[in-house]
Amino acid sequence: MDENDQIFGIPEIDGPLYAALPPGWLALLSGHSGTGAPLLAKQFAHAGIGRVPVLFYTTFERTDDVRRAFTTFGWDPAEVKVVNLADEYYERVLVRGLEIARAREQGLTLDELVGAVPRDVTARSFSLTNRMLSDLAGMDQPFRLVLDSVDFFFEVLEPHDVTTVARQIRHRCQTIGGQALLTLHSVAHDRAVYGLLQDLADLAFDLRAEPRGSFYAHQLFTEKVANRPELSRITPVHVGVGGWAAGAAEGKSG
Amino acid sequence: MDAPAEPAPTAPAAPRALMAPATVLERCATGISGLDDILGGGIPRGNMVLVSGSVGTGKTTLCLEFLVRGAERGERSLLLSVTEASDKLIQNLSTFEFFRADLVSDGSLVFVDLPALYNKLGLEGEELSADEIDIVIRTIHDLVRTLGVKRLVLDSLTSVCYRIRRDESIRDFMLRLGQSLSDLGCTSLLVSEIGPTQGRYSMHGVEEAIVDGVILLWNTRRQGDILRVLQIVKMRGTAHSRAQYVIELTPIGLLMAPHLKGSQQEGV
Repeated sequence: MDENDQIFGIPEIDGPLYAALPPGWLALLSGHSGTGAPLLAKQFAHAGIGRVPVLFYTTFERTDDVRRAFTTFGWDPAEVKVVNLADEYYERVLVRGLEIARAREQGLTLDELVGAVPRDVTARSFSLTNRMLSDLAGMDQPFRLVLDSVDFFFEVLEPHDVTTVARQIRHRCQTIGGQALLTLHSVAHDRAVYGLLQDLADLAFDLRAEPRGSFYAHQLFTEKVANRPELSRITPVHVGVGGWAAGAAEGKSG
Repeated sequence: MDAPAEPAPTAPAAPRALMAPATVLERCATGISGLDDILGGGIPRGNMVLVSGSVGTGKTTLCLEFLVRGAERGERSLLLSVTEASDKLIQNLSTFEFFRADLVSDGSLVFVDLPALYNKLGLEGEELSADEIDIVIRTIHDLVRTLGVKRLVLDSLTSVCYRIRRDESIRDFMLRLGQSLSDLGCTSLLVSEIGPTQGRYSMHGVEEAIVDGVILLWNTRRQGDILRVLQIVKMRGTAHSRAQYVIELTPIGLLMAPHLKGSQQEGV
């Protein structure tokens, strides 16, 4: 395995899988709350640094918190383009919702009543999908992309629109050799939609945590490797100083 | 255009004695002398009146003069425009000698684009819900109350009702709007756009039943010319002539003359 052929930067996991992957691929990472999937997503982004442009779309963390998580594990966030879709959505859509709620409940002020200007009919409305896919369309070389998480898209889009987004990301990966990881909650969505996303993905992981006495033991389930079902496996993992690593945590093997 | 649905017989103005109201209501003089004459001094204060006609019949010009004349008399006047931007309306108005720009700058004549308020209030769906209709009425009420508006023109009611659609909702909207404006002593003209051969005074046909008055405008052809004709179809609270009048939109304002019998040849 080439040292550049990294998925998460965990040799025990990357090695068997990487050789089985096409040049461009889409991975899905699911997990319950608290299992650490967002950290593994950041590690996936980190593993692309220095090789390809890295885009990290967050939908629930502050941008500073994303960067801080990177530095906690010694990863350089400067090489990652962090895009906060939640903030943009809030500023472009939800703030307006709040203003409208206030105006409807309390009435418009005199200035608003007489000074209101018509909506700019040429202004573009904010589209979560377009915001992300336009970046992707502009890529003309292999890239690494993380969308953490798809859950937010399910809040604002119809399920079939979310699967369309995933399909477009996958197509872009296949076209120019991109590597994308989408995270989502394991059980928050309809199983049919979850199944569709798994179908689209070349790789599907599920990060799980099982209680072991006073701590949790983590396992990464490699549930799907496209065309290579024999590579599916369960790998014990733990968080060390450099992020997620294979093997049970020392002294916590159960 | 054809004379509208219910063409009244062409007749000269009724004798003034027949138009005298039994009880004298406060009048809102339109400032258009011919119109005030046939209304016995003006529109009863607080009335909500439909100004109905097809394109090019002079609805908006009549309404704008009503506002300007009111502002000149110290009655704050408000145009709620749906179909045309205020800037464009003011620009068009400035071609009339009766228009005074200072009335706009000193706040006597106020122009508000209703779509801008829709935008502020998030009323962007194709059809307004019952709650949203409440919001529209409340917003217009707030605007009239806060500014102390005594004359209001809504141009056009048709555009507003296009997003209300159901007859019963339109009826409810108009009843409540009329009550609200009347309570504030505001006399209002609501522009109703109808087709040249529509056969009624409004798009849905319910509007004219609710309003206190209907002023009907239409075009008619005579010896190759197109004449504008005005007729008061209905005006609660006052006796009025129901005769037809030819109107002329001149730089100094709207002029009226009786539409003589036999002069109507064909509708356009």
